[in-house]
Amino acid sequence: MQQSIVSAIVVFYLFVGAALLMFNLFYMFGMEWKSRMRKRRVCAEQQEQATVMENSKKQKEKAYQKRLYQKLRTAEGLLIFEQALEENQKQMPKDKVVQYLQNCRAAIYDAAETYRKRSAMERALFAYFVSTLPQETIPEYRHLGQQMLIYLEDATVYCRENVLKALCSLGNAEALERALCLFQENDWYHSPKLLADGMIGFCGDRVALAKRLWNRKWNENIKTALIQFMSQLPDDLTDLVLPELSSKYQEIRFAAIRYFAYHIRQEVAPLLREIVQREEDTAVAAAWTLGKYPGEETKQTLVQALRSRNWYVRHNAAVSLIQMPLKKKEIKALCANEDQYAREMFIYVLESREKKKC
Amino acid sequence: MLRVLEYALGFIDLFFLLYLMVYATYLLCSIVVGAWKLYYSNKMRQIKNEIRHEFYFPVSILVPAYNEEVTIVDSIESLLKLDYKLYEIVIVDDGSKDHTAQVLVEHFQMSPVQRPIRKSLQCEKEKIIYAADHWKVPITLICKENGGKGDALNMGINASRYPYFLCIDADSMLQPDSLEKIIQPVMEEDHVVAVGGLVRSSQSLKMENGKRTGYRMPWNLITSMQILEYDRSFLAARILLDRFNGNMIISGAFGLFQKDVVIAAGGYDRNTLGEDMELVVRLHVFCRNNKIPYAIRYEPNAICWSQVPESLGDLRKQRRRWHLGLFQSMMKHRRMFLNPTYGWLGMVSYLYYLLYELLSPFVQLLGWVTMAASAVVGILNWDFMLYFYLMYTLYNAVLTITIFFQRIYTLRLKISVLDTIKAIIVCVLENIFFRLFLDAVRVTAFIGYQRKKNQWGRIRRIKQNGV
Repeated sequence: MQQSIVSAIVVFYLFVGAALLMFNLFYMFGMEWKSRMRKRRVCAEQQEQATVMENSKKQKEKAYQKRLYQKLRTAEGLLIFEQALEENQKQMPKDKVVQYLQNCRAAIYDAAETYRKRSAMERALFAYFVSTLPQETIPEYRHLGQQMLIYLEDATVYCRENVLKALCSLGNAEALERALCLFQENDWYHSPKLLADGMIGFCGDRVALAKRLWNRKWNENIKTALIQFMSQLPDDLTDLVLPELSSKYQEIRFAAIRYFAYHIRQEVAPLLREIVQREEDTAVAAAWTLGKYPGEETKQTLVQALRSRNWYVRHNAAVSLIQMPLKKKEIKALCANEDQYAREMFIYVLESREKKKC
Repeated sequence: MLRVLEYALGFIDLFFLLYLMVYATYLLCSIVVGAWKLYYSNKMRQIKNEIRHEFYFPVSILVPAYNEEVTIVDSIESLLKLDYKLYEIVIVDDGSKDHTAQVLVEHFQMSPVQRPIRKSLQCEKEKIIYAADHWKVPITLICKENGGKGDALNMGINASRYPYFLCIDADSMLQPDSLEKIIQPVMEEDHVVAVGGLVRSSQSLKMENGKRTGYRMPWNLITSMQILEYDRSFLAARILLDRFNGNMIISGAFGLFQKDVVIAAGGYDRNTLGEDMELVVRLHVFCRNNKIPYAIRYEPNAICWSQVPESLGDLRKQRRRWHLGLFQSMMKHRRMFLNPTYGWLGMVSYLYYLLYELLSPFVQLLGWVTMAASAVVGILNWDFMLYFYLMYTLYNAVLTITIFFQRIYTLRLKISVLDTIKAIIVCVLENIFFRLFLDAVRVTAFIGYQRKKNQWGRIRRIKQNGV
């Protein structure tokens, strides 16, 4: 009895194992075949697109639009269309490609509607496709932003990322703001780094976007990303960021302090010096930013900070100090500092700079 | 008396049968889950479900080295070719007796610096520090007193500048996209404190001028058996355990960690042989005890190529070290055993490592002894035993070859018919001989344990590509 049960289980397991093996083999060969087929189909699609691009009448024909929609509604078809388009963008005159895409508007909008009901994986693909559309066609596709927002429901991190890319590429500030609201309302985690990078790629008035987003109340993640994004803008938004130096969230304070390293505002210097003197948790960033605010008081604070218990504060204070105009006498004094840790750090940073100069 | 003995042997036979069946079930589950995950991630990659940015987090790559003059330059060269914007390389020479430091200083034209090092973690004193800033990324070489691999890694952490560090072995080589791939789980999910990557045998690579040109199954049986063994572990078991944050090992050959959490947890244990496993288990314990939300992830798309032993002697040394390391980690964190505080980790992962990794050779030894005793007493069913053994071996071989093909398609490798035939033959041989050999090594691992417990494991290295 016991033996027959064991035999049955082993045979069953063996059967499942063999089935898996067969699946893998079929999948492996299937993939190889599919990849070859895709190459051929991309070539064919590229040629067809090129022909249609030369014929603006054909582009508008209902039959062509219908056929195009049939292609775009499957993930495989969309991939082929996207790859062929990418090749044509390299080979065809830009105005032809733009005109073609403008005329394909109906089919692409219909496909966007179809993908709304698809899995998050396929929605992510369509959002990716939207993010690759050339800038000149954006006015035609700006309204896709609303569809993209619907894609965020039950989305994966990849779908959210591609939707954000698409919204930034469409330059649709309103939809982007709404998307961030959805992130916040639903507690969807998206790395501040990804959010900030995405906003940098916004195709539109980025300063207006920053100001628009600033007016809302955001959670720590999004606010940090927003300040990081603003740090990369050339415009002076210091008035907005200044109050964030006393935010209750550490990451926001860090981002704000770093912001003032890129956008100088002299009123910030006393506050930064205070942070370093009090050895607050953000003293590391403040010591680094102070390098951009030279002056006798700052120098004194940084010399003091060389004695900090925190290694990184000592390091950043030394880096900031050597950015300032120091007299030979001062350098000598710092190199002979009675505090061994302060002395070692200053000499190391000084030597590194000299080596880099060489 | 004979009747009692018969009952006892019958009971042990039953236990042994159950033990094997549970393992077979675990293996099947891990392969099914692994197959699904790999299929799914392959499909996602194909249809642009991935995160691609120009800049990610800055990472410090730590390379502990001890007598690595043969391979170290190749490894560092491979690190300089990574497609990643912001990283640094910190090599820690743990008192090598060969010319490891000298070949590095000469090849990378490094010069001595007076660099103060923040000693957040305990480690032996540094003797001299070299640096080179004229390469793609800064390279630092710290020569220190010998203290073991854990000690060298602690020094590397102390000297690193960035919030994440990646530790790799000195004989390991990374693919250009390895760093970008291993950082992905950190970008995708909050609270990821560590990520393990896929380690593969570099002997299966065809290389020309430092570039990967193809893939092969080596003629050396010991090497090819390990290739299949690595596949089974990295493409099945770890994926299954990853589903419930239950991985207790991130290979020392390739792992990414969040620095401040590692420092808070106390860094690498300097007195254990399996410092990589011990750190991961301690991170689990530390985060759970302190109610810190955390995840330890495994990323099969991040690949590291590492040399595996080519001789039985080297293999024995390596496995002995691994088994003792496992023993030390399991003993140190024995409180996790069936402890609901640790969730799935204590109830499943720990139990699995205890029963099927640590005690497995002893259970198998018991099985052999019982079988012999049953034969002597005359209660052994020879027909069933032979049938069961053959079926079990066949089952294991089928699963191993399944994973082998899984790897071929997920990594988009091209493999010749000859190599496929070799792989099939090796699958069968591995199940018959290789496992027996490994069990024997593990059973005898504790001999000389006290004497050798803090030494670096040494295996003979071969030059990779003549950089």
